[in-house]
Amino acid sequence: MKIRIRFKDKPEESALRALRRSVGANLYISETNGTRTRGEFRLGAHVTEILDDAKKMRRTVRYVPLDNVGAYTYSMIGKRMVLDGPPRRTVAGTAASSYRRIIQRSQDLLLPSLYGRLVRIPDVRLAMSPLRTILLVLSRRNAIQASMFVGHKKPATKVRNYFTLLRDLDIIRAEGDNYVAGPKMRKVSVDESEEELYSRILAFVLEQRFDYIREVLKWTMMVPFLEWSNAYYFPAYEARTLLRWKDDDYFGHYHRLYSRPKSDIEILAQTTKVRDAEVVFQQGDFWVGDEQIFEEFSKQSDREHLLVAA
Amino acid sequence: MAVVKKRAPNDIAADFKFQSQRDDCWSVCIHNILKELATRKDRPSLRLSEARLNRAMGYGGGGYGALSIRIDRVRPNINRLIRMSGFLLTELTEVSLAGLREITDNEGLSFPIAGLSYLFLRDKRQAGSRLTFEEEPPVGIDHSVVVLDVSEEKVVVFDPLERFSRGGKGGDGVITVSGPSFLAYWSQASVDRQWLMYAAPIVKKGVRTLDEYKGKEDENQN
Repeated sequence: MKIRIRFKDKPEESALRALRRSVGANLYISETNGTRTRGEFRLGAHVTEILDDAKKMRRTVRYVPLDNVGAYTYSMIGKRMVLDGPPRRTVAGTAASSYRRIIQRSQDLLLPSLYGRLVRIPDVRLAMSPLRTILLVLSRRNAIQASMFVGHKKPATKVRNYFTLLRDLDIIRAEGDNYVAGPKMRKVSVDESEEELYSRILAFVLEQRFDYIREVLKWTMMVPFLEWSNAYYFPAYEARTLLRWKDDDYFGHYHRLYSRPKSDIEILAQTTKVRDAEVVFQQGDFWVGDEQIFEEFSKQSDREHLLVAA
Repeated sequence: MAVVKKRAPNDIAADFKFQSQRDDCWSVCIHNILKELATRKDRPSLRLSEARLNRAMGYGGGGYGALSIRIDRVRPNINRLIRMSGFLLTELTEVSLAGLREITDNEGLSFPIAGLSYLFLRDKRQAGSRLTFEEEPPVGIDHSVVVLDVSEEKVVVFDPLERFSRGGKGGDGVITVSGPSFLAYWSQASVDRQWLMYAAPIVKKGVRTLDEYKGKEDENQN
């Protein structure tokens, strides 16, 4: 896309003004490379976020900088300048991916604070029960084979995936045709309570192999759970405090971050699960977060510079 | 037909909406001035929902709305939606304070929207308003407000960022800025100097608007 401008003085300011008019109102020039007459402007975009607490009269405004959403070359002849770069659609796409990366990073950083609560979700417990059965049998017999677990409702491919995961995490190891306890087995003693066991396995798996459980084992029920958790804690982190929200606030932030329309029934079902797992709480008309999750997540996000220009 | 006049600033702002979660100050301001005009001129078709306005302005384009609107498409896109009502949005730049007052006081027009420099937000932060800025507002982020009353001493504006709209708490968004300060904010906006936008009736040569026609009829009857 070519933009032709005439300028009186301050060519960079004139260029930015033209880019804001024709591409996006929240653009800024993050870097300029080149000579006085020819070169390149690297563009960034500021995302404005308004973070309210429904019970307070104050509101918090944060500007999240996305430092690299596109580049435009410039060439000047006298008082004329030609800018050449990607169309608005491309810049919008890059900005969206940049912002999505921040949201995804936030979700990843939030995960470790949620392990213990994830296993409280009935769907997750159900999905994990085959892993527990494998470990229970192994603790009784000392050596097992994958074929022992194949059955009507558990096809061989599924069972193989469970074994791949447990082996990959050193919870079990192959010994000839059998599997025996691996070096990490001690950490997941089957004698522990069901909740404790699941929590430990899940901690391992989520920490190191989340993509595998989502893509291969297809435990997709965790995805909306994580998204709804993040839709509360990411804005709270940005506001630097736990926030009290009404339904509209919470659902609005979810929509803002994930841009995904959901039916009222889905919203009710998913937010209820997050609440039942005690990730967020309902106090009267307000949604509130958990102090401990917030503290852990905030420390981790500060350490990882979550909001530094992406 | 009775002529409904522009009301007092606080009274008008009571019906205005505020920004909710993002940088849609301009869209919220347009929604407010068109709504007020629709009521005063009895033109329901001037009322545009925020969702419809946002779509027309390009908010949310590209997913997640990380890239804001394309400024040069705002007026033509919205005018396509309101043309049938007999009004169009107009933009002017390098307007004087006297010109702003004239437009604000003109009963035939909507209240105007003015674009203020980021310094307006920065000073809000320093003045200890109900807004907390986690960082200094970035240079070049302009902010839209609705101008309600103008004199050389002071300008009364409605700031949609001022408080949360649904809670019913906080102020009413009406802020008084001294004349010199307003002029400084207005003249240092990054996109256009002393810019404003308002809705005005479509005037075609030799064609009377419905209001004018009605007025003529009334005169004839008298």
